[in-house]
Amino acid sequence: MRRLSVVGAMLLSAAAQAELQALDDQELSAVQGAGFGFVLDGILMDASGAVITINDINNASGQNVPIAVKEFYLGATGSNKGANLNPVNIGRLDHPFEITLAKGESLRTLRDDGQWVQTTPSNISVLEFKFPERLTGAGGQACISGYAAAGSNCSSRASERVDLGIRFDFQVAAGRTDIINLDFSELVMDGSYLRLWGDDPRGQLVGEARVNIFAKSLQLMSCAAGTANCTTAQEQTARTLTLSNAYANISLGYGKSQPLLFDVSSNGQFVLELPNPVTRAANGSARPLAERNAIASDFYANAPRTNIVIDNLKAGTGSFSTGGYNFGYNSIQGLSINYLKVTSRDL
Amino acid sequence: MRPTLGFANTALALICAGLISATAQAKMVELADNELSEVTGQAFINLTTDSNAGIDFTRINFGMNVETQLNMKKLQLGQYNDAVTRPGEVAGSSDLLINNFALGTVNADDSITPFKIANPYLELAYSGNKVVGVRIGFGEAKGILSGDIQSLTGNIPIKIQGSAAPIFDQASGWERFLLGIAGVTRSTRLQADATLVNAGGAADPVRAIMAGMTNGQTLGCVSGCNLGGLSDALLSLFASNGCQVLSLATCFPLSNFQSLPVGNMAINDSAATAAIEGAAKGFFISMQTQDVAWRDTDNAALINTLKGAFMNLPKYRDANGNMVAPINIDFDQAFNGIPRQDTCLGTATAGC
Repeated sequence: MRRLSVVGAMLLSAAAQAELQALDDQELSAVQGAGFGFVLDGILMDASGAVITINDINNASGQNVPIAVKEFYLGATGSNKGANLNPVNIGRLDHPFEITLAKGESLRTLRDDGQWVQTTPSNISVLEFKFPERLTGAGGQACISGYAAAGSNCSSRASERVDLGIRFDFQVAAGRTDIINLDFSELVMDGSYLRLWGDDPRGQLVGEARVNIFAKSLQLMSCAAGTANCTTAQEQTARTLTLSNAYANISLGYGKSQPLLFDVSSNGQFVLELPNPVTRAANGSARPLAERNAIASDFYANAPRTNIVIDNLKAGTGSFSTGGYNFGYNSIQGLSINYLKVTSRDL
Repeated sequence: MRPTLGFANTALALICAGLISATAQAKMVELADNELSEVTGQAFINLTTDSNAGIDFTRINFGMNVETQLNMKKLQLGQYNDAVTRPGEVAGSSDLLINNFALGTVNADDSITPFKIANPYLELAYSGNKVVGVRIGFGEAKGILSGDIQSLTGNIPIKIQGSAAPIFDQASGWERFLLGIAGVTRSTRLQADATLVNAGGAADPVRAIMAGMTNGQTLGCVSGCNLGGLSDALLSLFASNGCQVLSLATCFPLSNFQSLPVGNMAINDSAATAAIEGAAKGFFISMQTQDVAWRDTDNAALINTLKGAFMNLPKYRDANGNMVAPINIDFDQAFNGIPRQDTCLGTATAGC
């Protein structure tokens, strides 16, 4: 069964009762901020009967390793790993998903310390897709219930978060299939965004992105329920890695001085780059020391950072004496990238 | 209908403006037939499998070359207290804890000397249908790794080699006399292997806070020993015990070593090859629920890792094919530590 309904709400409707008039060039040039918001109302996705097979990822001998993607679901929290699916509303009209075309100076980004700052350059038009926002002060609810260490609150309420699951079967060798079964509980991605704009000096598409993932728990089970050694609750628990109170803030790019650059080389390989923000201007000219110091100071103060935190990671029961393991608290905090260039190549 | 058309024109103008600005000046150029015929599916991911001692391994390999310079406030893995798996460790300590971690360095003019990585991978270890380990590794890695190392679990071979002058500077008059009898002068080149130890000089790969010579280990002569082989024999009388040779300290806090070379920095990397010349092969960080032997990506040997979080920095091959410890320091650096290199743009040098 699959039910999906999407309700779009035009934010431009604020001007609904005004008679429509043509804008002349001067008026048009003053337009900034135009877009629409939408919420996902009563959404439930249950693809338990569907299988998608990904081919042409090979092994070292060049043989195909089929990857079967199955048992996908998305629904309201409390689904018991998809066994009890109910529709969920994601976002609401005062905190919707948004697709916006806006001036760079009108966009704001939330720093880890709860301050809103501008990260995109001024006087450019930015195409932004963003999730419901995070909130500062007393508004909203903790992004992970009962775990304030995840930082500023999310606008999505507890009832507007989702359970999500998916299973991958890797047929890695004859008679051997590796299973990865993922189940997110109370997943929310508030504060995530993708911003794109054209960079004239560089002559290319650039952007900045932030992917926030908050989950009360993420479970990775390495067997297919109902198969050998994977039938009882104890057997399934023993084959499950559990991440509790886990979140990731993945930040790529700081539009003011270090936009994220995408490119594809002439031989078809992708290139992803975060350039050094200080040494040279986008047109290639060198910068004096004082200017470099000022840019670096702004970069470290305001560029969003990447954090990955797992409050508790355990295998099985978490008790070593019963075959499990407790890896405890694990984190990468305050990651700032001064320079990154990733180039793919054939294996 | 003019108002309606006006609105449509406005919306269309806005959409076009957005699309034009978003696509910038990228210019499409058609491919000739012979160029198009050479285009094949790009395969920058593959999967490989392995087995050993009842453990099955699946590795996802990424065909990538990565250059980076980054800083993080804290890298922390495996903070837990468990008297069964971690007996005798300090409460609240971590398997791996490095503050102000950085890869690559920043030069005086704010240009960057990147840390280079080739062929990163993600590997899972299965016992039957149960995941017992996961590791993230680099097929090749070369550059400067910096950080304030608070505790480390793993395998980090360290070669101390250099002039004996710093040893003479630390030694008492009597000890200088003994070294003289062994044929060692200030210009003699000595060497010692060091690894993770506790304050008593016993090997301690779990949550270690020191590196140095293990108990019973001796200094070796590389060159300039006036008595030849006899010097080695005499030096062997002075085995390290309790982190001392005579009264010379032979163990040092890991936090003293703030910037460590990974790979052979003396060998220049060639831009013409995908490989990183002089790279250390087989750097990885793993987490396992039991002791697991992971495959060394350089020589296919097995590397035993301990349960919990584990960092492996293996030896690499030099230009002559000899296995070399990834961390090479002289005696002066061993005694005084290795100062932190600049890893931050602007006025800061660390902690940015």
